[in-house]
Amino acid sequence: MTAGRKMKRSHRVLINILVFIVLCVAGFLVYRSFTDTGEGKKLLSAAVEDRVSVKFSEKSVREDTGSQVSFGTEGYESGSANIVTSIVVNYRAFDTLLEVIILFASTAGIAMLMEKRKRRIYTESSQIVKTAVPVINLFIYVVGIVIILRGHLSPGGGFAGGAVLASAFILTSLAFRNTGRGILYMVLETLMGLGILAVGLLGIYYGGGFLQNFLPTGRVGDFFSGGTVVILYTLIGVKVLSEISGISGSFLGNLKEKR
Amino acid sequence: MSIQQLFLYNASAILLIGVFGILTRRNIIKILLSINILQTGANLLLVALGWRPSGIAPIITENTGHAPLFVDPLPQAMVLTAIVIAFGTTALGLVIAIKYYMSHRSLETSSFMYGKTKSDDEEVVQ
Amino acid sequence: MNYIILFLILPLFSAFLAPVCSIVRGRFGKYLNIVVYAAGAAGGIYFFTVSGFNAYSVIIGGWKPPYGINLYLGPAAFGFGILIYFIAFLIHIYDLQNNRPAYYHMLFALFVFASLGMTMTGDLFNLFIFIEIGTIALLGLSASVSPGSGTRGALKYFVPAALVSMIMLAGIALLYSSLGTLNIAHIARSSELNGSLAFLLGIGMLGIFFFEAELFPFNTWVPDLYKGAPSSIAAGVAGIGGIAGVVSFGRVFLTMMAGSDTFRFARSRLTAVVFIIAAASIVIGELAALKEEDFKKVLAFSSVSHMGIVVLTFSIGGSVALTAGLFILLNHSVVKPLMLMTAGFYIKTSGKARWREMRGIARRYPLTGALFVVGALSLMGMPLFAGFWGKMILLKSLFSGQGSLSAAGQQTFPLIGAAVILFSVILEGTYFMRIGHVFFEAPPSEDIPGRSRRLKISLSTAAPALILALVVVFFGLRPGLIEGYLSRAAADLINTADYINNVLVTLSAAGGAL
Repeated sequence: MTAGRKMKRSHRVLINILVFIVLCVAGFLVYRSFTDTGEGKKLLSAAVEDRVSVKFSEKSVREDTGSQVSFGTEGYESGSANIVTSIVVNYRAFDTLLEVIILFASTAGIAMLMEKRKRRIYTESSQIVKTAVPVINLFIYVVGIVIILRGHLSPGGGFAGGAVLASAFILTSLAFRNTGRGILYMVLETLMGLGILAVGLLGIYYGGGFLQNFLPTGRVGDFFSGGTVVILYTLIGVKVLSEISGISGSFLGNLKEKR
Repeated sequence: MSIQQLFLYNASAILLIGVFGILTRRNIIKILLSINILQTGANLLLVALGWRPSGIAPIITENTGHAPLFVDPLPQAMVLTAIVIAFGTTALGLVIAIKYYMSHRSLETSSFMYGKTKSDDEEVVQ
Repeated sequence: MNYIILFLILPLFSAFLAPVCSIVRGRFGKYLNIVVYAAGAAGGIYFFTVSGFNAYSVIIGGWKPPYGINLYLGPAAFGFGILIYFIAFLIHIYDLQNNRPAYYHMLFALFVFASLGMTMTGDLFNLFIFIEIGTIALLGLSASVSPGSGTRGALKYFVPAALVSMIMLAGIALLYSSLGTLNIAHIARSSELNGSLAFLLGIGMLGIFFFEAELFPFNTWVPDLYKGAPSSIAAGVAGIGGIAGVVSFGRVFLTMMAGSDTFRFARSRLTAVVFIIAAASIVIGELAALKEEDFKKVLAFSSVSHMGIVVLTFSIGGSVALTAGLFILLNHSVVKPLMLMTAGFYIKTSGKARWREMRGIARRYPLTGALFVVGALSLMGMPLFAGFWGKMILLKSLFSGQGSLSAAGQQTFPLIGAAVILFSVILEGTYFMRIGHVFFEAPPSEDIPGRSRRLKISLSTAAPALILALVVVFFGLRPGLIEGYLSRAAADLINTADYINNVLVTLSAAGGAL
């Protein structure tokens, strides 16, 4: 049935020796870079104060606030309280757009490669599972939506919230053997993606740069602060939800049993 | 050693384990697991490099007062992206492994016959 | 001029709309892609002429670099971006004959987007993400058709790609912790790094470019991917992927490492490493192609060797050698898709994968045979074709011994380079003429391949190959038209001071593009 081509023993030994040599050279280079006492900057020599991110922490990229950011103040250049969120969605929003595209590409690749999967036999879920899943789903929905919406006030955001919501979908599809139509997830994903592009282009229209924030930034700590942060994170959250659900649906073979 | 050094040693150990696994394992699933371990090690390295003595989490709350000392938020944003990339590549790698198994009937990287009789070398792809 | 970012974003529209379009109306998605690529090429030409060949630094999000991300649209990125759109357009027309699913077109559009982004970006982490998008799109595409060698090619691409990309991420992390920034211009302006640290980080970050550019220690994926993927995807990797890999390699190696003071203490060591790897790729690529039986794998090894030549010019340094290298890159990116389209057509009609079993097939389909010969002659460097000028300028600059980046070995490195290139020309001539001979040989009357499967060559299959061959001949006869532009692109990659000045400019409070 399967025929493995066993490598000749001498070849295998040779490759092992080569790998060992390469790893030794790499280890030597790493060791040298730690202990070299020549001139020039060493490893870890940029303290946090010298890095680019200090301007992100103090919200002083455009004008200096003198590291006086505090809760409840208005009029900063980016109003969200969670600084990591402001980096992800505001300062370096292009990276986030690309990250979302990565998920999109991998979902499409999986959907394309898993099209002709044989139907698999599952055992029916017990009554306990079928009764408990809707109740658990309720809690998961609440927690997930709160995580998405409060991305700029506490740790969380679109990615974490989308993944939590997707776990509800996966629970349902595993318990009831019904994954939902794959096309629906794709359409949802596409619409959200176009929405993100639209927000970006509106940024050019109103502000001057792609994905630039064009809504007022409110007070730090309010819900309506940070401008386009909430909109973008909601779009990203729904997109991540549909992507992960689509991927799990492809893996499970696109089951369509009725409840 | 400081806590940052502890984390850095830990991250390099995880990186080494991942590299070792990729280079020496022959089962595809084990290679994919090693890739995942390698990605985790890289993420840990990133976060550990952002530490600051007596720094707090970079979120402004009522309790942070004036002029707070935050740890570096940029590596954390990079790690967010890197985790998603790791997820995407792992999922796609697994699907390709499934297709590889469906045609070669084996998960060893050294198998070269697909189907019952055809060899990979002789396959005609247009 | 703010809408100039559409030059990069355009394939995203087609990628997001392709699945929806296919639901709405059949195979509409593939026509959408063609329109988008043509629009991208046309728009690029328009913007380029309007901007007057100056470099444009596009700010994204309104935050000035190094705090925000910027795209750098200089002559290198613009010109090669237009070329990427053009090649994608032609590959797509060639692909119209096969019925591909909508996700295929979407992934191809994302691959084009990732390649464009790689040539233009000005931020290291952004470059990493673009490389990852390209990897994922390529994986999905190459495993889509063949269950045996397609998945093998995809796995052979995926595992080393994941390894080197994580090494790059670790390198970026350590670089950030030493210099405090991720922006390429800002890194080039920083103070000097320690010698061994610079060498370690340089090796870490160049590894993935050696992988993308199909160079020697990392080229195990190239023959299996070319063989297992459908011909249009192999053409995409050869043309579009090659351009993206080399131009981004030029940006990272030439602008950030060789041209700036930051990596000064490790510069000669890094240049030597690049030279050795490039020379080894040339030699090993040609030797492997000489004994290869499978048609597409021969073309794959020839790609490895040509990419080695281009990267060799990067290590020699000096703008004359770099112009020659970019010329060779241009020639390769136009010719290799042409030859792969021919290969795809011949494989489909004859049903065989080895070139020895395709005797006399060019007598049955003389047009494609002639196009194949045009491509082979241009790769070898015959006069009248575009490949000649690149190799001639390169050999001239090597023998005159000017502009070497390495301090020691001023005479020996260029001479070794010239010897290796001449060696590659000889070998390439040998195996391509051998293949051409087999194709044009009169076969015994019993076994004309394709007799049972006589396919009429359709317009959509032949036209792209014909257009590419015409481009090659045109630039072979009139190199002056493109040479001035290419030397400007070379200056764009080498001139670090100008790059820094263009990017790190203070802006007014409103933000926006320059």
